[in-house]
Amino acid sequence: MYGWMGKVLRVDLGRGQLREEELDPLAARDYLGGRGLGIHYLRRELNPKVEPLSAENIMIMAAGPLTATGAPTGARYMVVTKSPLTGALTCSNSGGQFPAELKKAGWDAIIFEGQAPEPVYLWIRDDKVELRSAGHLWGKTSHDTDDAVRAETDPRARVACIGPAGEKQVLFAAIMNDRDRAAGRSGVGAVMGHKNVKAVVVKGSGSVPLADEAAFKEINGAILGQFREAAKQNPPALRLHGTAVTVMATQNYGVLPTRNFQTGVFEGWQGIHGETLTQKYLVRSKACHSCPIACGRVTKVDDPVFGGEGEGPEYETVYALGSNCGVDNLAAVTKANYICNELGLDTITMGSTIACAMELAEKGYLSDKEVGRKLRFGDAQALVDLTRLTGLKEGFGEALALGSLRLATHCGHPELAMVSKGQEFAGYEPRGEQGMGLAYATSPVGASHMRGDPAYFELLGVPKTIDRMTYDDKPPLVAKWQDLFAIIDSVGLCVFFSVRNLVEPRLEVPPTGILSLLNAATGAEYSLEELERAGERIFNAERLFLVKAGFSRKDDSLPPRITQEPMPEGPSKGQVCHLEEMLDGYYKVRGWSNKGIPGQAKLAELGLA
Amino acid sequence: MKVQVHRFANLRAYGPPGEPAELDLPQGAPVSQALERLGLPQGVRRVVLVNGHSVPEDQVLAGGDVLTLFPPVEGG
Repeated sequence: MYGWMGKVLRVDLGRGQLREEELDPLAARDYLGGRGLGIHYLRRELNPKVEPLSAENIMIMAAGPLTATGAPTGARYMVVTKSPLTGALTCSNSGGQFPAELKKAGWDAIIFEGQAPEPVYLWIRDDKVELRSAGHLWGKTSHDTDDAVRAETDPRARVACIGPAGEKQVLFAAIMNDRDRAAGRSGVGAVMGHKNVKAVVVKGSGSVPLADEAAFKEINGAILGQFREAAKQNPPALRLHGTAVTVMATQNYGVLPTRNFQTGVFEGWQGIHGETLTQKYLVRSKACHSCPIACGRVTKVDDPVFGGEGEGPEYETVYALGSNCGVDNLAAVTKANYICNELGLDTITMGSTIACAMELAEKGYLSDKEVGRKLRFGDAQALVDLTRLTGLKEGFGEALALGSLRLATHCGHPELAMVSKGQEFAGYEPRGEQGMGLAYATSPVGASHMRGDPAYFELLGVPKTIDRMTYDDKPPLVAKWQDLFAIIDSVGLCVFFSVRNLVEPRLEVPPTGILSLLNAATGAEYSLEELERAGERIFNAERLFLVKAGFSRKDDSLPPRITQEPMPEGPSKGQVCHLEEMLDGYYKVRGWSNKGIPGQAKLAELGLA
Repeated sequence: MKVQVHRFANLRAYGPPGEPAELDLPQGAPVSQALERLGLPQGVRRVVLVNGHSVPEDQVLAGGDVLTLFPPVEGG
C-alpha cells in the first residue's frame, strides 16, 4: 500500500501478546484512517454498551494516510475508544512528533484490548515490538516518564504516555505525547490507565511510501508556495500569538465564556489574551511535524508564586482556566496548564469543572467544608491548588476528578454543568453563536470544538464570515462542516491549515487540496464525491455506535442556561441558542429520523446498511 | 463623526499609534472609508466588526460606533 503502511499492531494486554495484522484495504479506502479507522474497529469489535473502564473496552491509536508524508500539518493521530466521562465514543486528536514516528516505524494503528495484570509500556522499534514492565514508572509525571523511557530505550524515541491522572483514572485524564501535546478530551488517559499501559514508545527508521512521489512533491510545493506568499502580507495570527489570540475575537463578539457561562464578556480579557502571552511569557513558537504554522508556545513564567516553564497555554486553556473561572492572572492560568500537562489532564474539562464548582459554592450549593476552602470566582491560588489536587485525586480533587456534570448532580443542580452529552463546552458561547450550539449538541463525542467547528465561519472569517445569530441556515452548514472535519481528522492533517489552504474558499468547502494530496500519496484515485462521502460515512458510523449505546435526540441537548436564559450583557445581549428550532432541520439534512436515528436510505447510500 | 477603532495582531501596524484609535469621519461614511483612513491595503485579510457584529465593508457607520479589526484566525 502507499500512504498507508498496511499494518496494524494488536496488543492483547491480558495475555501479553502482540500480533501484526494487515490493514484491510477496503476499510482503509472507506474510512481513510485515524478517526475513521477508529470507528470502523470500534463498531466491529466493541459492544457499544460496554463499561468504558473495563477490560472489555478497546482503545485504538491511529494515524492517517497523510501523517508523516510531508504534507503540511500531516502530524496527527487519533485515540478512539469509549469514553468514561460521557459513555459515548470518543476520538481525541493530537499532533507533535509521536504520530509521525508511528508511521515511520511501519504502523498505521495500534489496537489495545484487555487489561494488563501489571503496569506495562509498549516499545516499538520498527517491526520489533515488546511489552515491558512499567512498575518503576507508575506515579511519574508525563515529563519524567518521557525522560525515563527514552533513557531505557532510545533517546530519539517519541513517547505518548499518561501521568498520575490517567493512572488514577480521573475521568478527563489525557494521553500526553512529546511531553506537552495532548489527546486531551473525554478521558482517553483514564482508559489507558485502566488498561495499565503507562506509555507507548516508538522509534521508526522508515518513511511513508508514496504512490506518485513527483506529483505529491509538486502539489505540496504549490500549496506551501501559496501559503508562504500569502503569509508575506498576512502573517498567520496563530504563528504570531498562538491559539490564545482567539480571545480578541470571542471577547469582541461577546462569546468569551465567563464565570461558568454566566456571561460572554470578561472584564479581565486582556490579561489572558494571546498578545499578552507573547509579550510576557513567550520563549519561542513551536511546530508539530511538517507544520508551516508553528502555533505551539514554549513559555517561561517568572513569578514568585506561579513561576515555571513548559508549553501553553492555548486558547481553550485560557478560556477554561481563565475567563470561565473569572481568573485574569495569566501566570496562574499558565501554571495550572503546566500542572495539567505534567499530571496528564484535559485543560478544558479541568477549568470548566472548577468553574462549575465556583458557581455551586457561590450559590451555596457546595459548602466551604466540602471544598476544604472558601471558593469564589477569580481565585487564582484556588485554581492552581485544585488543579493539582484533581490530578492526584486528593481531597476535593476526588470530586472534581469526575467532571462537572457528576459534581453538579451531586450538589443537586445538574443544570449548572455546562456540558453536552456530559462533556464540557469549548470556549465559545452558543448563545452568541447559533451554529456552535448545534455543533456542540450533535457532536458524537459530546461538546467539542474539534468535531466541526462553526466558529471558523461564524466568528473567525474562515473561509468567510456569515451571520453568527441566524439559525435557519445553520443545519446544512454545520453538517457539511462536521463531515469535512471527519475527513481532516481521518487523513491525519491539522484543522488549522486545512480549513484555509486545502478546501475551496467558500462554505461548501470541497476538500480539493486534501483530495489531490491524498490521491498522490495513496494512488487510491478517490473522486471528490467519494472523499466527501467518506467524511459523511464516518460521521454516520459514529452516530450508529451512539444509537446502539442508547443515545438519541434527548442527548443532543444543551443546558437551560444556553437555551432559555438570555445573555445578560455585551454584544450578544438578549440572545439564547435556538437549538430546538435547528435540530429538525439538521436531522432532515442528515437523512435521520426526527429522533436522530440514521435512516435506511442514508445508510444504504453510505454502505452502512 | 467620531468612531473608535480596536486593532489586533498584525493589523495594529496600520493607522495612528495607540490603542484604541479614534477616527474623525464625515457623516454617512462606510466602513471602507475608515479602513482607507487607516491605510489598510486590500490584500490584507481582516474580519471587521461594528459593535460586536461582523459587517460588510460597505456598511455605513454612525457616530460612536466601535470598529474592531482582526486577522482571520487560521494558520494560513
